[in-house]
Amino acid sequence: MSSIENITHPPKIQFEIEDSGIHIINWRRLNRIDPILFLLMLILVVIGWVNMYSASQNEDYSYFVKHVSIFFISLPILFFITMIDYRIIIAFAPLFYSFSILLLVVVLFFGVQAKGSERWIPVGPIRFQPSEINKIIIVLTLTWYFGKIGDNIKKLHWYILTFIISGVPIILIFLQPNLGTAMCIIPITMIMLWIAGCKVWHWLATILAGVILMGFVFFEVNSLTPEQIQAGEHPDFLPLKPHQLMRIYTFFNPEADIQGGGWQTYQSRITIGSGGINGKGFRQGTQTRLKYLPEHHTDFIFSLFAEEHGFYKSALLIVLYGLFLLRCLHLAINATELKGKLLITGITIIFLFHIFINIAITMGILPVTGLPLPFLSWGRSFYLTCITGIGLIYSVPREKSYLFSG
Amino acid sequence: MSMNHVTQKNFFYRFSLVIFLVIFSMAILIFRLWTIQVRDAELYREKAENNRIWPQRMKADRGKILTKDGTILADNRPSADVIFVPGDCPSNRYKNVAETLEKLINVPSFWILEQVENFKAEPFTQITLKRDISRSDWIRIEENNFQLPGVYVTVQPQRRYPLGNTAGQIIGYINETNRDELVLYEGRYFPGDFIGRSGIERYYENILKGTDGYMTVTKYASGRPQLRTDRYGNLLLVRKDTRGHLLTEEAGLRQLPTPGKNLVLTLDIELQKLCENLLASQPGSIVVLDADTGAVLAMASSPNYDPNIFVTKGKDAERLELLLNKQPNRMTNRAISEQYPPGSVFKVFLAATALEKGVITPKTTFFCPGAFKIGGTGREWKCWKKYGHGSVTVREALAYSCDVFFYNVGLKLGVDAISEYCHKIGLGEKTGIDLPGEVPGLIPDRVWKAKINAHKPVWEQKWYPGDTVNLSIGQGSCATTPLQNAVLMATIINGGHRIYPHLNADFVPPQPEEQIFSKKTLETVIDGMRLCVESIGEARAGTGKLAKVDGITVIGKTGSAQIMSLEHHKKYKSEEEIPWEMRDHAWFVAGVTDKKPKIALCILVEHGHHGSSAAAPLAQKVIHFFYNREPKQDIQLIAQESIGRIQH
Repeated sequence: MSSIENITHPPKIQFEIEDSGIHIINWRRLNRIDPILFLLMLILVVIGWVNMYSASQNEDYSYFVKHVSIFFISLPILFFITMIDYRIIIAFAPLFYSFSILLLVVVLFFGVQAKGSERWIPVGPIRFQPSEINKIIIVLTLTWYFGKIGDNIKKLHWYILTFIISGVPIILIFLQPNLGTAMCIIPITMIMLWIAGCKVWHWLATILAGVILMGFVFFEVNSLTPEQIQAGEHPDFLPLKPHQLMRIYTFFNPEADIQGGGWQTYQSRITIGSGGINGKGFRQGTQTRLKYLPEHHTDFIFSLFAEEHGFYKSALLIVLYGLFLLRCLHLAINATELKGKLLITGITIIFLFHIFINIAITMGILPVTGLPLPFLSWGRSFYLTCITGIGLIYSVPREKSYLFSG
Repeated sequence: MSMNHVTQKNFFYRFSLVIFLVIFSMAILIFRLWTIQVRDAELYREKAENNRIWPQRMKADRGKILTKDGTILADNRPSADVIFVPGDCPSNRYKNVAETLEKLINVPSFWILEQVENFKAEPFTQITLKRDISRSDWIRIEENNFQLPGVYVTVQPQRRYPLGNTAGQIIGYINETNRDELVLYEGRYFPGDFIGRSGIERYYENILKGTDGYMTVTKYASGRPQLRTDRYGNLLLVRKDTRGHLLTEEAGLRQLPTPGKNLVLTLDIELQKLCENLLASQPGSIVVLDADTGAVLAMASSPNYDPNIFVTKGKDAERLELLLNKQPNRMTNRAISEQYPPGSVFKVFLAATALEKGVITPKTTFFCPGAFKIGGTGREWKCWKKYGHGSVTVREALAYSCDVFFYNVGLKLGVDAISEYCHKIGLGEKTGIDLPGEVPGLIPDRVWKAKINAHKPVWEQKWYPGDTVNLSIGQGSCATTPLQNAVLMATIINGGHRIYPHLNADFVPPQPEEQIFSKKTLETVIDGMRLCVESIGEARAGTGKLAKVDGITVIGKTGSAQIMSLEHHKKYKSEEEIPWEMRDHAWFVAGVTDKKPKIALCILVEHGHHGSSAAAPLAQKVIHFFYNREPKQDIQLIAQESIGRIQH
């Protein structure tokens, strides 16, 4: 804290740090809640409710009720996390990390699996998906790591160690198999490395290597036929399940699988497109009501929104998400410490990844991977993850305090 | 921690990339959204509509067949059918349901499962498991419906022929379309539809069938229509959406089925019944025509069959027997689908033609010594009367059916004149009656003989006077149908006009053509035929004397068409010893000129031996019945009654 004692710097920062530094849990930290971000979040949450009301017509609104209730359950969690000193949370990150790796191993061997998709641990009536909270834990762990090593990030071996930290959960989640979540960790790692101040050429070289790898995967996957993939063949370096490989294949060859993943995106595109400029009206989406749109309350909920509300409101929704993300970044820039900036950026990237990939999938620009849309999609584990993430963003001290302090 | 605040500027440079990433991502999404939702909106809207809209077919009712007095010959009755909709049944219960159905209504369970497998791609097809179930079956299914998900009983129209055998061959029957027809009439006929197979049902298929309608409904992705309707558009199964709203059809997209038109036949059903009873079991045919209009009043063909056995359940044994038992074929309409040598009936035509052509006059006589030789030499043609008729005029020749007279007339007339007039009347050609399966018959001429013997030496192709002689008495290769002979008869008694026989009462005959035979000619011919029936005296009785009806002037002509040569017949001592299938066909054509309406009839009894004994008495009974029966009470014509109302 040597720089803080310097006379050239204003004392208000000192206040910030002092305020949060004494108690592990302090209700006064609630004044860090950013009103603009909170408002944006609330708008998205309400849109999510309205949309879920329409989406769950076919299921007697059970999803709607659960969707609303999970928000009110998670709101105290948000406040609680805001009240905790985020440095404590970060200090515990290695513990969380070890625990999450343990959970991933457990779920890999003892988890319940359905329809060849990701696994979960049944805890009583709740299906707990460890991979969801893992995204947060990775962010915390990397924050802790970058905080610890400081400028050493510019050295290559410390730089490479980052990929080992994030690589272990990637592989474990990948094996579940949960392609979407595993993929999510890659941009988190890359952006956090960038913010942490790694050497530019390290970073660019990594991206170049990644692009080459992707091209290689494309080439290898494309050399297979759908029949071969269904029969269980896969490139040696890519131990994917047939249905995952098929998703990648379908992405490159949309006509190949019109009944499976191709059917889903095809119907999703029809759903969005048929909405037109003005939309079909609230709860009037024929594609949804007649069950042409698959997964209309989870992965393809954006299609439902676009069908019923049309281009203007859908574009507005995307803009809202953009504003939400930019506001998060604004808070990151204003964070007093590097750790805070990294934490907020990491969580923002989680949001960005989910928002972009999810909507891109519904519009057929990316293969189907099964990522939920924050605040709109059904899925309680993910909802809790989002709220926890926002709580963590709030708990980071910033140069300005907006609430209560004028 | 040393980086705080010191490298804030550095952070801006690093963060600007992330900010750019966010903005860029969102811009991509909005651009893509614009291309789908604004630029290509129409395309996707159309695709969504195609997904959703489904024209639900509504079958049209088949038209009834009636007679002019309102007797129903064919109509529809309600029948309860068991249907199964696989989509309404959980797939793990298929086997269970099939086994239960086997117990309840005795439909093999393996067959049901096979059908379910066939319609796997369209799980909301209605599979008809059993048609026309009994009331007790129906009750059993309703009682057990809790363990039969997807099984329904629907009421469908079932064809019925209330009169059974009567006019069976004329009405014909309907049957389910087969695979080839489904391909041929794609879009018009669908699996399970019925199509006319024979008779009126087939000939007027387009009129009777009607036009199917449709109602536009929305369907779920799984193919389940949101609402079901019966064939008249009433909701069978009202579906509610999850909001409790009653789902209705799409407005304005509805085309009600047009029921098939009722068909009124010219048949006199009482007369038809009588004719069929007269023939009893002996193979043969009776055709009664209205001589002026060509309306078919009766067209009996024996033996006949009951078309109900093709449309009613539980008649499999009869159906099999009918289809397999070929001799004598009960499904052939002998009035139009079989051709026989006309024999002496042809003399009527020949007499009229010769008089018309002026080859003979009413006073011309030829001497009949009992046999005839061309130019006095060569082959000898016998008259049926061994010692001859002596000198006869055309009247007497018709009355006694003198062969030798007509040998002479035929030779004088020549084959070309005979062909010409045959064509004018319609002998040896299809009459164009509105029934399928009519055969043209055959009147040989020069062209035909050359063609049929084309592979033989030239002298075999040439037409010889001997051929004309054979033709003169309706023997040789000559063949006509009973209907054609009736048409000939009608032409004689209606004043010489060609007629077009028809069964449809709405048939408008073509404009009357030129008069084929003049009045003078016909007077002579009719007089001769009258003598045939009424006789001149006890000693010289006409051949058709058994057709005489008190108080009515009946004209007629007998005919006995040989199928074996006379030499062959000589092998047997008496006529009764000749085997049935070698006996002559018995003909009798008759007409009534002094009553209204004028009727022309033709009677054929296969292998009846003599027209005078086997056929003429039948004519007497028909004519007597037709003019002397009690006038029937006027029955309101119910032809206009709308079809398709089934009483449940």
